[in-house]
Amino acid sequence: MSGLLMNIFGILSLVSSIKVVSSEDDVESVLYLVLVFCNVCGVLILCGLDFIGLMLIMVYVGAVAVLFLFIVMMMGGVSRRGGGNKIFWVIGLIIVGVVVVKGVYGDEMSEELMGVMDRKRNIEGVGEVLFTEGLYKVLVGGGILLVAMIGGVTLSVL
Amino acid sequence: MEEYGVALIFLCVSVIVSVVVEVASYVLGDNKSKGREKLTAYECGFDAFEDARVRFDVRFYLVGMLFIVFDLEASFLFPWGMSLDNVGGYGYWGMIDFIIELCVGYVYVWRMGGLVQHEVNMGESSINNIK
Repeated sequence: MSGLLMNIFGILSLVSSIKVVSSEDDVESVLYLVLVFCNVCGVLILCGLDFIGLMLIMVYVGAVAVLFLFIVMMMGGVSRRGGGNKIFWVIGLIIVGVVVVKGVYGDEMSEELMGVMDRKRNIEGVGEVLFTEGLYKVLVGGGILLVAMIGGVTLSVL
Repeated sequence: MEEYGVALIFLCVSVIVSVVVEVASYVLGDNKSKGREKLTAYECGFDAFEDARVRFDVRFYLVGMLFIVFDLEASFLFPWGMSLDNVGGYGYWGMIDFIIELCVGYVYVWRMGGLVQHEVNMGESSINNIK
């Protein structure tokens, strides 16, 4: 049952990610991107990473995809995509495929991820790894967010 | 993962309902009277004045971006709160430092007027014209 669901979510996310880059309409692309995130959330929950999956929904679908919609609407419909060159498609798909196959069939898993995954409650494992060994990453991330806020103000208000 | 079985049931029901609605409206609906006029946008009897995608002020985008920043901060607070017993003072003060970093940005945005919404002048002349 779990394996079947995993396959369904995986195939749906692959199909909709192909639709993201191949559909003619920009808004349609963004909606397919939301579908990709939802399916990947399903895969993550089936892997036992429920907190990370739900955060994916909250941050990416709730905020980032809405911002993408903002940008697409602000374009005002001028950027209808043409066919594009198909050779870039093929190269990009090969690169992505290699990364995916390496990720699925590679047997190496980082120690931090193992520490997260063997907990009963995923969120506690995330917290322990994030706020002990990974604390400097959190602080660097805070700095990046600060730079993003200042950059946004500089671009839009000044 | 057993506790997510309910979510799976919800997912199946929502898929079934949406398929049923789509198929039923296709089967039961009147397919013959499809015409060009039926598919055009209706705007008070005129042709559509402009594209539905209007440009709007970039300040809306700034508010959306600030929302993302503090959304991320909240999503870091959840695991921090759950693992406070195990991370000790190091993790505690680290999170406080993270919050202070974002507070600096918040105060900066506030002082620069990024949160101020300008009053929109709706144009008194048009209101007078109606009168």
